[in-house]
Amino acid sequence: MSTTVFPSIAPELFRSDGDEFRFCSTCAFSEVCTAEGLDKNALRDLHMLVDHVGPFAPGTHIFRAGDAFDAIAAVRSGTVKTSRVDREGREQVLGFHIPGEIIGLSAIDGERYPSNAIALDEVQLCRFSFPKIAVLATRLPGLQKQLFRLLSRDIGHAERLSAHQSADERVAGFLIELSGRLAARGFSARRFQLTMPRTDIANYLRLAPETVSRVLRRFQDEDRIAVRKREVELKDAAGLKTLAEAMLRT
Amino acid sequence: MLPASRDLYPPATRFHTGVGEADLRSAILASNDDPIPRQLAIVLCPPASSASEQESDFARMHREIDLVARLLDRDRVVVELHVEPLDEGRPLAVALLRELAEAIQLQFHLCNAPTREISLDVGSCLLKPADIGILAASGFNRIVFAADQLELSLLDAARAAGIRSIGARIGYSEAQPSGAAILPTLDAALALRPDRLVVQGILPDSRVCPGWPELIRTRLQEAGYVYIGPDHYALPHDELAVASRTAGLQFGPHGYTPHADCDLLGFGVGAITRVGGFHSQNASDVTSWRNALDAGHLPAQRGCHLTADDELRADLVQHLYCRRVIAIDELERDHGVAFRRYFWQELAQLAPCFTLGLVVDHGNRIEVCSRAWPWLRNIALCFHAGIYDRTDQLGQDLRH
Repeated sequence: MSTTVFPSIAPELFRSDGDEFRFCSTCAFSEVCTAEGLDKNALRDLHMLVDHVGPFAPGTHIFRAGDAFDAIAAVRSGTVKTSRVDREGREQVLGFHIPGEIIGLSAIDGERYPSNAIALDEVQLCRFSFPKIAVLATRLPGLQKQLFRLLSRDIGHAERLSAHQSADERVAGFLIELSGRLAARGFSARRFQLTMPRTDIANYLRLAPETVSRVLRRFQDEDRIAVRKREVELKDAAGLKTLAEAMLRT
Repeated sequence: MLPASRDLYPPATRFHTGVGEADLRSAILASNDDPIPRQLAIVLCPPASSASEQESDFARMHREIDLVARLLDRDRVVVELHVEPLDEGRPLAVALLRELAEAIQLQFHLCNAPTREISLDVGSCLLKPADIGILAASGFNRIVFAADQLELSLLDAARAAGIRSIGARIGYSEAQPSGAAILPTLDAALALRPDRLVVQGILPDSRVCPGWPELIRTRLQEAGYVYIGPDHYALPHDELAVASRTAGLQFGPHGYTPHADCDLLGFGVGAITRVGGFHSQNASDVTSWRNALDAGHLPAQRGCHLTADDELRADLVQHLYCRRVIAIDELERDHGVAFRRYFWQELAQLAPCFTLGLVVDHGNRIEVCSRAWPWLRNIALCFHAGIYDRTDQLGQDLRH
């Protein structure tokens, strides 16, 4: 089990930035080649579409809602927030994307990005030109499948959090979900930093910032978690999972 | 005057003028956004102004408090408020102090629990027993006296008014020919049994004449006081002593507090603010402080952003000052370093202490033996960054 505390970078994760035949091991698309055994030509074609971009400074927009949609990107390092702004000008946080996850997927069925993507800390990306990857996907069934899988996973995130749950269930659900995603990317499931400000967590969970902290403090008093500065340790993951079940079931 | 500032990490000498008001504002706003935002300690350093200027300077203090208070979220609870001494030899401005304490209660969310600490260091002000009732009614529950002011009538008034903790500050000059010179003052103070005692050498140098602290410590321990850390002692029932037993102490620019891991907001001339990984200091001259506030600005004039190395060393210094150990496992866990590799030079520096048995290596922690407590400050200094050229000092002190 990994002991690398997100967002510190484990040497094995960044051992390789990828080469002609291997993608960065954190990348969501690495599954395409490992699982589907693409031939070398296909890999080379896919790799031609990848640009390493960044670093983006904290607070910078990676894209804005309404920008022409031309690329999807995998996060290589850092955390990206996606959000949209409603008619009243209020920001609505849609999600947080950690290394290995894809941003821009929700734009696939339109010509413009429907949301903003903002770097929360220093962010580096792998950028895939979308029109080209879509054309390539028609030739590579594995890639097509992976794109669809990622797309459905992205939708899942948004829906599961719109359910009406108690503050405790929401916060527990948030921690368990994030822990699982980090573990899937080679980070420690038990200890990680909350790289997103609490106002964003609160907005995402549709709670007041003070409520998020109050619940976290109570979890800490109950010895379910330990919080040091921005770092959280899940001391009773099983208990939190039970609490989060209502939210994670959907 | 910040008695403890020489002990802090990073030391105030690291502050530079490249940071200021804007950095302070964004540091405070960012500190609201921690998963569990830290509690707050507030320190007020009213300027030592002439009688005619005092009122307008207090008005400026109110303005400064107002500018900062609006940056903080409403769940940032203040667990500690401390007023630094007004060294002026005049009657204490009780009415102005009461207004200031009330302003803090209105502008901030002051903790309601009995553990909150609202303290006043009387300094060289003249205090009447009647003043103490007014202070207690405004929420003050702790008073610190200079030793030469400590008298039974004041202490009785304080205890009758419900002041929970009484402190005494005794300064002594290391330039005096013999340590014995301090003993009459010390004994006079001990007879009144203040809850906390700070006994401090006046030489600004970080070096301590080794015989004296030892002498003072023995005397105080015989009188039933618990050693808290360099210069600081408390009776066993006092919150400081309790916090010391339960690893809940924090050491800051104004000495020890029983509230670990608070953000510190400083108001007034030369006040130090420490919010997350940002430290800053207000203008130390009263004119710059006034000008900044009169123009609607925060008077933060210099400061620094802590690096990961700073955070690690600052934590280590806290371990030493508050627990007299270096908890290696905790530092490695919290900072992701291999302790012995990271600090090999510092540990080599401490070799004579290990040899003499003053410091003991238990593997996952390094413990400072009680014999070596008088050198705690010097041991901590070994862990300041880039200090190797200066720490020959420790060897010299040990040879005394």
